[in-house]
Amino acid sequence: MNRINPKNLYFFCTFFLLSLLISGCSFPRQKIIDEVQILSVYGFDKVDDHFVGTALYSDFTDVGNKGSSILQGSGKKSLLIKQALNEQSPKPIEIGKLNLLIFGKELAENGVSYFVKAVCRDPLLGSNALLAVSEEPAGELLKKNKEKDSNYIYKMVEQNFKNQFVPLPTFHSFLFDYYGEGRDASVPYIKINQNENIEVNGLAVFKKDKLALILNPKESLLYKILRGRVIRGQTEFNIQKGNKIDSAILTILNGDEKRLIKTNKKKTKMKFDITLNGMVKDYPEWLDLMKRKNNLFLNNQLEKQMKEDFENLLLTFQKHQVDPLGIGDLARAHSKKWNEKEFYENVYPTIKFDVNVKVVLSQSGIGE
Amino acid sequence: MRLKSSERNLNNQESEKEKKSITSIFQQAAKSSDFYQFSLSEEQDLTISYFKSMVDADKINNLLLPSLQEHIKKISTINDVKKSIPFEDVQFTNEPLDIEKRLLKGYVILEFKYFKRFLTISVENTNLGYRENNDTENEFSVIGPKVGFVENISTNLHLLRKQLAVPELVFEEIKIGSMSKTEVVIAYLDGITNPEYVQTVRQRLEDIDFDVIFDNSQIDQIISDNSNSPFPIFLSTERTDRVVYAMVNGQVAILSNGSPYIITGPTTILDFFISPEDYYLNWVLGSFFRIIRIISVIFSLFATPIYVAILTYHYEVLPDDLLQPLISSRAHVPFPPIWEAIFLETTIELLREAGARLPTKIGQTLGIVGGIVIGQASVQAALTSNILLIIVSLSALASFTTPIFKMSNAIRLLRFPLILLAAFMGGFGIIIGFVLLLGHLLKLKSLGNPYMVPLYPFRIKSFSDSFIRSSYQFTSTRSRFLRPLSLKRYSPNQDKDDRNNE
Repeated sequence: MNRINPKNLYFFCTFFLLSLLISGCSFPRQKIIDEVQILSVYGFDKVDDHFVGTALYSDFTDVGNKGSSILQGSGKKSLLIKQALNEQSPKPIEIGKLNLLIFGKELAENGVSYFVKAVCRDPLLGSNALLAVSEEPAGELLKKNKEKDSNYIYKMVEQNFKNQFVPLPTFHSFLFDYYGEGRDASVPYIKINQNENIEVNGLAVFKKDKLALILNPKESLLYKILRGRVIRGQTEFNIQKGNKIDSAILTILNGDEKRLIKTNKKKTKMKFDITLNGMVKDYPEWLDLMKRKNNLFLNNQLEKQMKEDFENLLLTFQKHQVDPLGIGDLARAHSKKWNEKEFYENVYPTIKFDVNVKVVLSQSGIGE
Repeated sequence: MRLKSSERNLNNQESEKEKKSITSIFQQAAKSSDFYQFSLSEEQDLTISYFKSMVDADKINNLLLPSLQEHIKKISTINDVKKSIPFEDVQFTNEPLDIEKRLLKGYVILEFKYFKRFLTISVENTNLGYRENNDTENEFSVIGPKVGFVENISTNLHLLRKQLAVPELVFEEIKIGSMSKTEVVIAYLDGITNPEYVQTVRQRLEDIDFDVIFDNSQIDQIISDNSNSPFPIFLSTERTDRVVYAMVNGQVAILSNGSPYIITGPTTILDFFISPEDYYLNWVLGSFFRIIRIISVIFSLFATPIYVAILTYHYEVLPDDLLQPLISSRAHVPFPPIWEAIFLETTIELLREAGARLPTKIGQTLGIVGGIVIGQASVQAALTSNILLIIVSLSALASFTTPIFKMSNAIRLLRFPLILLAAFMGGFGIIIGFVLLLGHLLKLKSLGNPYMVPLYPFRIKSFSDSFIRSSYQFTSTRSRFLRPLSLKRYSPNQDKDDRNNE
């Protein structure tokens, strides 16, 4: 039998009392799930000299409510925008579960550095949230989403990242590219199409913090392959045999990408080795893929076209002085002295690109 | 302590000084209606006295009285009496204290006035007042023996001796309780159990000063290393196989008369999650069930606190698809998550407590009525959310998978401080609670042996029978941390070939 040490008893009592007091202190920090307004999408636009923030959320407390609600507020600073949103909301605004952040095109062209600093680096924001640039002002785009679930755009971008041409669009990769030396950031580009629906339509490439170049879906896929992380997607290409011209669809199943940089005294050479495993599903009727000759012909045409496309894309990057592939970073890793400014002024425009594409087709000619 | 023992000595001296006379003992006893005293014959001055409630009346009527009547004429010396009486425990004494003690234990006292000697004959009815049925009632298993201990200590000793048929099995008896004089037996295997443990148990039992020992669990509390811990320090069980297994592994068992529960020690925390059934099933299944039991303990401890913490502070960690069901089920609940959780947890505890107090058949009905009706109604009345109802009932269910009742009680109790901490400080509070709990567990000892072994101190060799129950091939030695005098239990057959040469 051991007796309770009076010291321990005092400690326990104090601890218990303190924990009761702490509960009082904890009240303002409480974020009870149904007593906060959890935003899913946050969009920013620049209007004249101030910013307009638009937030999208679903109110789950009302079971019958299917669509999403919109709050809009303006201010010169991001916190003022949030304050303006709070003024219109019955519950405190919480951005901890933000899934998607959209910058209007105008804002993106003027530079997003303020928002990257003020919003994207907020520790409350998850690094797996997505980022996008919209062709229309973000406010207008979000208003189109009113009938739908507030996570609709987020799910759309994510779906296109998983299966289609969009490269990894998370904050994590954006911040890495944004702050990393020798690389530029790129985010999905969304817009409203002719049918008034929202769609992902390519990729917005930044130079520093300003929007510099917009890629179309096909270029975006090529860029995704060059990045090398996730090689998957579908692309269209032309087949020309004699005087017949038609197009076919290449479905890329997986692949491999290797980069090599060589620096001689003055010239820098960059080599990409790309292997793509895929299948051609949709092809013209006059091309009988059961014949080996046709198969080889198709393969050759594909490789040639792909090589051309890749090189064109790289030249576009060079022309616009953007480096979303991180070639500067690669050069930095392979040289003792490297200066970002000097590299992009003198070396980058003169780099010679050499792309080797190897396409391995399987199951071609098998019907659906 | 010193004061106490000197007081006790004083008591003993006084009673010796007093020297109750035998007549005064009988006079005192005669105040009770169940005390019988009569003379068999006038000539020999033979008086028979006993407590009717303590003796076996059949034995007196059929054996003692006829033999006395038959031989009474022939008696010339006192030793003739002893020869003529067909009982094993026949003793002479003139010591009043002895006579008083034996009278109360169910002895018949024969007084020969002619010889001025007292003869005590044991006709105690040991089975009187005890149940015949010795099924395991609370620690049920599907496979394996269903033999359990009963209140009668000699039956219990018999059960142990039957399974451990070796002369090394030692029963040491100690009398505890100043009023109850309960027989308490320390059972261990000589040459296997570390004598230190036996010595510790003996020492602690001898130091006990208590009036009436009702149950073994009182001894458990009195001799435990830390009586302020919610965790049971000794494993108390009613299953024979569990006690035998513990003793074979080098633990000490403590039995006490009148208690169907036997406590064994030193224990480790993992012992409480082991069911004897694990050993009767194939090792793959046994390990699976054991892992499920351990996971269910963790679930039962942390599920509700995590729910409270997330809903109060960390909405960020919820998956998108879970937001809607959680929010819409909580939308009409007027309380913060903490009150919701405490309300439901208390309801479950009420149901359990009421179910345990009520007779079995009513208890079952109550369980169903309580579980379904109260649960459903409280959701419809918007007192709690659906999801919490599922979490709370699952964690209550999970806590009942622990085979030892005392441990599952401890786990259910520990949920409440964790829920409070979660409500006050969120995930941080849960971690604080967990750290305090872990610290307490690390400090705990059972008979001086660390409670958390083999987790801490880390003993990799003992892991073959801890979280998993490995094949009998790998459990051929006793746990080293119990420091048994001989490590080897058996030598498994090394031949792994197919017996049929197929």
